[in-house]
Amino acid sequence: MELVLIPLLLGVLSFFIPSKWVKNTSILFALISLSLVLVRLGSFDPKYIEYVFHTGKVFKLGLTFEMAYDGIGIVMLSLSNLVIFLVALANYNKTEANSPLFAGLMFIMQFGLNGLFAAQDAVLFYVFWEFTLIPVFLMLYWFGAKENQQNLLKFFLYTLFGSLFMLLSILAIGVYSTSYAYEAIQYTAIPAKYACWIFTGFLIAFAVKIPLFPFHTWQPNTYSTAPMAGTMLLSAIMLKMALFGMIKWMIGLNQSALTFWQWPVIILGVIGILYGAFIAMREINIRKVFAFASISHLGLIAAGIMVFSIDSIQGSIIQMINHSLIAIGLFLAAGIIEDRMGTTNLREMGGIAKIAPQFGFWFGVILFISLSVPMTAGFIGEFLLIKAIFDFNVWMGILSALTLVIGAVYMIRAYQMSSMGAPTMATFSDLKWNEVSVFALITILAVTLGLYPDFIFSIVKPSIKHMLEAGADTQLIIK
Amino acid sequence: MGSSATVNIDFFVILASLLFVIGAFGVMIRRNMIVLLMCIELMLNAVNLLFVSFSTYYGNADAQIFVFFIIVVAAAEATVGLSILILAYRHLRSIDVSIFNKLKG
Amino acid sequence: MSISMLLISLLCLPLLGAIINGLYGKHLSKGISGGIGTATVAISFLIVLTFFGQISEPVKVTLFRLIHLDSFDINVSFLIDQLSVWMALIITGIGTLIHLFSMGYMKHDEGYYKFFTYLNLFIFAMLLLVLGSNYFVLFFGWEGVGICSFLLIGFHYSDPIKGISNSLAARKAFVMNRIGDAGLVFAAFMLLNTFHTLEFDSIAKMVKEGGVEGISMNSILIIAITLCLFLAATGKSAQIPLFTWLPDAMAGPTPVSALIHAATMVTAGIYMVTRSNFLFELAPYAKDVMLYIGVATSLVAAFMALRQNDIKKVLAYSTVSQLGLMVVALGLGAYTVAIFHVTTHAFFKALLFLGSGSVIHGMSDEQDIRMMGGLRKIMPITHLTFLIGTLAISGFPLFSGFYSKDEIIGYLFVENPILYGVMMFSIVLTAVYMFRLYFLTFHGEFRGTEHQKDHAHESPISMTLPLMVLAVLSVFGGLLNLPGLFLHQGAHWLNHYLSGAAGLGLIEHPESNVNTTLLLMGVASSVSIAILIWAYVTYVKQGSLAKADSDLKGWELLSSKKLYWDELYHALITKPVEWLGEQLKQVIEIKVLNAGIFGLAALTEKTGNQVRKLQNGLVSSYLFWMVIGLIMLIVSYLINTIHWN
Repeated sequence: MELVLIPLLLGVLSFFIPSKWVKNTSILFALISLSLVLVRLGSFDPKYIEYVFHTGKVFKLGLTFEMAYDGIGIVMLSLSNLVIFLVALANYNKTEANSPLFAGLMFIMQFGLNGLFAAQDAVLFYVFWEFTLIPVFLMLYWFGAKENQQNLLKFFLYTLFGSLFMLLSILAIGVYSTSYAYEAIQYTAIPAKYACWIFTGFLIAFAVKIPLFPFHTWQPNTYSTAPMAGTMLLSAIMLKMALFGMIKWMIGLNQSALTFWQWPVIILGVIGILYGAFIAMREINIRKVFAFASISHLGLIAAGIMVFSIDSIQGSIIQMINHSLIAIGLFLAAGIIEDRMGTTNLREMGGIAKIAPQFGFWFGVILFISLSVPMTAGFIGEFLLIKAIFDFNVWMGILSALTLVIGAVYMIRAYQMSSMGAPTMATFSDLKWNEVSVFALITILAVTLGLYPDFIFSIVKPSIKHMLEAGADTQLIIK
Repeated sequence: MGSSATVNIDFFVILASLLFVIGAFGVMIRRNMIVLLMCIELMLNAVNLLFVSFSTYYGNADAQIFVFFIIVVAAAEATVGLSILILAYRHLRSIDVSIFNKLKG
Repeated sequence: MSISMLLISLLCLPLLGAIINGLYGKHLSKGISGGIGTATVAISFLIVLTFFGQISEPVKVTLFRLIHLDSFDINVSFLIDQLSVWMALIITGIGTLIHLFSMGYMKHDEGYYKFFTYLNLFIFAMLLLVLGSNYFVLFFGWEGVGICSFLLIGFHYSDPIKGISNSLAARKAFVMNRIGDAGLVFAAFMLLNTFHTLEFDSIAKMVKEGGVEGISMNSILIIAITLCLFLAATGKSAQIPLFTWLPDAMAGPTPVSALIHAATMVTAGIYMVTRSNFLFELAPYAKDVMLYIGVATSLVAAFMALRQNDIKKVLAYSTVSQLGLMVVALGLGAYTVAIFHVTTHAFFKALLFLGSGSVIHGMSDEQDIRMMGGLRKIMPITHLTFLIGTLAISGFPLFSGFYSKDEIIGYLFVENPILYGVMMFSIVLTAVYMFRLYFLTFHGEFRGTEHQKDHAHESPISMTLPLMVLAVLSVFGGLLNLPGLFLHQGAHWLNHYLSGAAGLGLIEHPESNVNTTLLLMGVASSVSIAILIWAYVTYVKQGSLAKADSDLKGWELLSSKKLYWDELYHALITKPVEWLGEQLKQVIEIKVLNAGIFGLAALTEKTGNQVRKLQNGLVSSYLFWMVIGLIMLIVSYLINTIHWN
């Protein structure tokens, strides 16, 4: 229980902390909740499901309040806590960091995320799914660029609209299942002709959140107007909720919708890969470059998940972790440039690496990590994902591998336009300790996972196997 | 009523319906607020008539109790309605409902 | 020490050097920083030498398991056999010399320690590439050298004048290499699906034993795999269609051009194909593709080199041309001969690049040969060594290039006399532009500015020493694989040595008879001597000079404009891609998707506005709608209750 409640407590506590302390306490708080989950990770046995909160009772309307995690769950829980810690650290010398409100929202969001990744009940999952939207919306509304409330509204309504279908699907599941508990749904036979449509509702909600082409239009503008920490939270962990949802609540429960939509979604994923990459190649707003790059990366992960073989899901999990890391790194780099130069326009930049060599170095390192060079986690992830898509269909595989090439174009273009060439500014203060430590942590993690991915694989593999079998079994019952 | 010749229930139903329709149309097409109120009374009385006739038809007094309630409510409603009408007239110098449109969206 | 300990230290030393220089280089003096860089590579060279002495059987060292999946395992493991040791020997040996050279060459550069960091990192990646025992580890090195190449080409990225073009060249190199990398990735997928392993020796064994589904002579799968591998090789080894990055890569400092873009990295493709020879042997079709592409590349690049005036650009095109020659050898199945040419080419091309570096250094960073001339008196050692390099590359008799080239075209003659003719023409062109370069640079009158004349000087010993060592190697390197014609005992030593490598059996070739060989040698020798005389007469006696760009006409213009190849790519690939990106951004993103979403919002608003009008404040109209609703309810009730029959 502590896993979920302590972030909530910390969040409420943060509201009352004087603003001169709050940036230090938020790092401390993030460390506390990170260490809680790491203790659980350390003692985790991949063969079992570990309960966070267990009543064993079914309440009125078939609701339960079970919270538990399996291998994938604990990895995602660790990831979300890690992301919050990195964001708190990266945000340290921003003005938002001095706001108790901001810190409070961040930890309340953390509460929502932890709840979501641990929820063992469909309704609970939905509640947390919507709940996480509130702190992030407030964060963007109070601390984001003021001129762009329309885009914020678009983001909010769009994701809300997507989730509506999930709610309908959950209600429909309630018709057939005795309760909304995960296991109960898993062993419920839903008539084949309804199952596909019921789980399509989930798919719509997830597709909007990922975001899958063409549901992505809320994303680039939101990313470019949100406060830096908000962008990081959105791209590093909120999108992962959807991918996690696809794995746990679609593959693990009932694969009929996945089978039905497999081709269309893989095609959309591959279109997303190319579409994001092509636009990122022409975009001159540095944040939007990274936003479209994110669409491209997530298209690959989504397409990989849709293959739903054991290798592809392992690849997608490691790529999710990698994407969280690089999203934080890239948006931090963009945020640093924006803070110190007052612009996001790549054409106005140049030669930063010359004036601020540390920044140039770390930005370059993050850049290569995001290009998935060997010995980083991204390489393992992309290798497995593209292989899975390649095995699914050769042409899709070839198209998705174009990300290797075009990715190099837009990433290096962003680096070259901003950091290479003759300097265009007189001063550019170099990195502060917290920024260096964020970059260094990201690098260490990416390289460690790149050389020892088995650490993640050994944790998630039994769960994935179980999910693949359980989800497929349900299909058999139907037929 | 006993053995006295019974009138077919259908006539009552048709009469009540006619009264109701006349009332409803009156409310819809007339603008004079007094006529409007009268039409509403007409509709209520159409319903009352139905209640009473079916009450007799089934030999059940429950409906007649309802009729009393309706008469009371209708009287109260008429009082409230007429007082609103007087106030409106004082205010607007007219009892034409088509100019009472301040509540439109 | 055990062999695995030696191997780990061999790999880790350059990495350690890179880490020390990267983290503390700023605080170290230039001598120490460069010294660390050079020493680590030199020690690695010594370690490789001990391997060279020991190895008779291939040794495989597994460090740890990288990925464990149900369908396959991937280990980080290394294969020490004759081929990898030989390549490692070239890399660390020439690497040491070039590190030494850089200590002098980069003396005035503020990024001194960074340069050595990158160079050491490059050596590490290159060693991973050649020592890896599977395609996965090979790919680690493959991408690693690409990154180092990117960093080093763009080394002077903040130069006020050339900064942008340097960084663009670096980007071009990286992106084009990535296209090739995609090929390697696909090959790896197919290999994994077919063999469930990526280890060279296991795949070789399975191929040899046969019986693997889909693997047979000229099957589609094997051709797809080999062509993907070759695509990777065209990227790294600068073949048509992916060769245009290499000339641009000359934006990097000269030692980089020598080490990465001449001696080692660009030969990675040759090495990889040689490593995969057991696959290529099953795909004659892919070999033919290689043969023709090799010939075409060699010819095209040689033609482009004819009228280049940048000393490094000439050498760059000659590298492409020579790599084409090596690919021809691969296409003929003469893998060991290709490695032989890799070796001799590494010697003389490194020599030439370092010599040009010495010239550039002495001329205060001047690269245009039109501004040089008469340097033989000012720089005697550079001059002499450069001459040796020129003779070696143009196939002058008894120099190293003579033997390796001769062996390749000898095979080619037996296989395909027409291609032999084409190839011979390319070799003639090589001699033409190399002698042109040599005479214009070192003979005649000095044509540079006064300032350059005053400053022109011979380079320090740290730069000339590597030149002299490489010159000796360039002269005698050919002895490694002396044809049987001269020496019956121990002939083709390198071929025999390499045949011990895993999966690389000694492939017998239809040798032409002694008379033909002698004839071919005679032709080659007389051609190169004739061109030497012609060039001497033209450039020294008649004193003709390189023309100004505006005077060029016909083929000269074509050559100096590189056949408009870059422009062609720009028009055919870059422009359409940019156009597509712009269209997607302007039309699909903004006008279709965004406008669609906002249109939906506007539609909702409009509908709301319309519906709002129903609420007109008139009681009678409300009642009217109520009655309509009532009627509809009644009608629907009736429809549902009445039985239609």
